[in-house]
Amino acid sequence: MSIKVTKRHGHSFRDKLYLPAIYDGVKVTFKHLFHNVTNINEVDTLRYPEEQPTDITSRWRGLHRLTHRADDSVACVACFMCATACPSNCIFIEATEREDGHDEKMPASFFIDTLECVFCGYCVEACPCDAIRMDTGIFSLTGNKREDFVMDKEQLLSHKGAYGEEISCARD
Amino acid sequence: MKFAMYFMGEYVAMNTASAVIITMIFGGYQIPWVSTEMLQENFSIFAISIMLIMPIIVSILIRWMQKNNTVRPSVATDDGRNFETKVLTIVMIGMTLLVEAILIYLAFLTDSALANSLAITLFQIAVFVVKLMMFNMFFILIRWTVPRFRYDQVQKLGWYYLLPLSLFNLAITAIIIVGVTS
Repeated sequence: MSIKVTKRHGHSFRDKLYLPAIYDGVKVTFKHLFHNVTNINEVDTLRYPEEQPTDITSRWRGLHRLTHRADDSVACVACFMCATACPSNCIFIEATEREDGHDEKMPASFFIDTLECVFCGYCVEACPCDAIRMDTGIFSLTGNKREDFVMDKEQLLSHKGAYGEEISCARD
Repeated sequence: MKFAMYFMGEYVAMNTASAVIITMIFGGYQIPWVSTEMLQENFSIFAISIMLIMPIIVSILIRWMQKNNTVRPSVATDDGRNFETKVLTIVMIGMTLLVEAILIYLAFLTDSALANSLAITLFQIAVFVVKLMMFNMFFILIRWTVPRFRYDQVQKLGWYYLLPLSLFNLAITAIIIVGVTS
């Protein structure tokens, strides 16, 4: 059996000088710099505010919304399941009696503090009425003060689902 | 903000180093082989060459802007960048025309040596800034190329190769200077 001898690199004078290798590397980086500066739109980055991402899927958890029933009333029955499941305690519900003949209860107020929210989706999993969803596809929420980030019931009801399923699938 | 200050300090140091290198070795605010006196004596030639070179540089910049300051039409329909390009094109052409008018006035319509000197000073400041930017670019290029160098290799390069080379350079320079002057 013959012994395999691996040729080691880095012992020639050119290798020990380092500078020729650095020169080769500078050539490579400069080539990339020149190409990218002269063809900026070939770089695979979005120019964000104008160019929006197109690869957000329907499973992606965006900003919350409250769904409607077929007759446009709120699907939520104020059972507090989402507020109980919430690990960051950012859902605040106040229940009231329901007069429109659907169920017994509905939320008088429904607040989600999106600054506290960790977007885990547990509220969507917990909801028995398909009343809260995170399929709006909204990924950026802006505001001038902290109060702007506390979503109330009307705001949550006004958000539209981005992927077709508009009304609640569990309540009619 | 702490990190911003740290990084800013890094870049300020880079600028300082570039300025020192340019001043000591790369001729400071002069362009190669052209002294300030030469520029003052041949002011009209200087003015005409600036008047010829400036539109070329500005047209290259405008063409770069028209090609690259756009968003991909497949992804976005926003018109803001095109508007920006239009405004900047007008501003750049206006600035070029202004500079050309000033240079024509200085070169052909007046004889004020002070005004000529001021124009040359401004030009030399611009030359220094361009050199500074080129050296900053070189610094950044080296950082891109060798982001994680091995410290023992740098030590070896400095002590075994660059120091003997600079001593050799010193000896050669001394020999040439003695040989030329005596």
